[in-house]
Amino acid sequence: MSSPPSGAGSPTPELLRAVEAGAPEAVDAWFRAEHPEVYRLCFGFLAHAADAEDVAQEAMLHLLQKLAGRDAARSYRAWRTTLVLNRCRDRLRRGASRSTAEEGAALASSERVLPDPHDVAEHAEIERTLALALRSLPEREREAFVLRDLDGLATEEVARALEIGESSVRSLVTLARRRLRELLGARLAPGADA
Amino acid sequence: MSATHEPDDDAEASRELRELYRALQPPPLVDDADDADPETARAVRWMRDAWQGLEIPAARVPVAPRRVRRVARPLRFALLAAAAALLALGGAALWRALGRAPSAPSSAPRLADRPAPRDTSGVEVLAALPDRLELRSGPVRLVLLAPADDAPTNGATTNGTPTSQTHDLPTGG
Repeated sequence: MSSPPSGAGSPTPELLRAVEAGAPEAVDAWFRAEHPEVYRLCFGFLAHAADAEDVAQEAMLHLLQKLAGRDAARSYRAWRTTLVLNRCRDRLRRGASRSTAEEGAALASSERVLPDPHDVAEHAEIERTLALALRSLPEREREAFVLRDLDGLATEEVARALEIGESSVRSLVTLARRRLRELLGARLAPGADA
Repeated sequence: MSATHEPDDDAEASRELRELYRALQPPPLVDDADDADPETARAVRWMRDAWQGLEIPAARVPVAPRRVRRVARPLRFALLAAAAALLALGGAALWRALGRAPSAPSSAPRLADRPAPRDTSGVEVLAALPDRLELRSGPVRLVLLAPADDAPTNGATTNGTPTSQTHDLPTGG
């Protein structure tokens, strides 16, 4: 399997210092590098493209405002993940992005083979399937799955971000994987990714 | 005959069941999806590839924050405090030069509580505080106050935090 981490390239300390000082070029570079990462996290937690777009924009501004005051002893990535997670939880609490049982059932009952995730022409279908699959997971399982299997954090990092034990993370991730296998397994082309 | 052996058989069966139960091992919780069964690993891989290939919508890059107020505000107040101190010292010196007994600025009674001065040619310091200076010259009273917070200028910040001005960033991953 290909290596998971997507957010491996955290901004350098020099770039972060320049952003804190308000250098326009640094802010621009930081934003362009970080926005895709933040959007993907939001999409994962919210499982909804439009909500993810809104929350990602808000979260980027929030990150920029809080950057100078963050705890320097904590890694930038962990700090960013926590802030984005909290923004997404707030949005979910306000009632948006609720999943429905019908959506999950529709996904499971479809017999169409899933498109190649790299196929640009199938982008809309891939995004829709991804969102439905994520929405079929309970919130805690989804958070653990996104951080562990999609964002590629280590189990102990996920445990710290979610403030739960490592064994709980393993349980949540295992449950999420099982659900996804039941949802998608029959629709995956055999050997397509071998 | 068999009835006499039944309790022993039951006990033996229970014991074996207990041993089997105690020997049960939970299924391993694999840490990495690579170590899961092939179908699970394939499903996770599809999710990950789809997630990493998400089309990133256009975003609005915030205008770089400026930090004018953080520097300007203390400086402006320091200048004002220095001016107030000079005024207070000048007023006291003038008072002494006029041969009057100086009064403690902070404990001086307010204008309304004092009797009207007979000689109105001098300047009297009524109060010299960090944010306020009160002077009196005859019937005229002058009160200097430290300026209140200004409305932030365009593009400026409050306590150094950036504004939410943005400009568009083209779509891209």
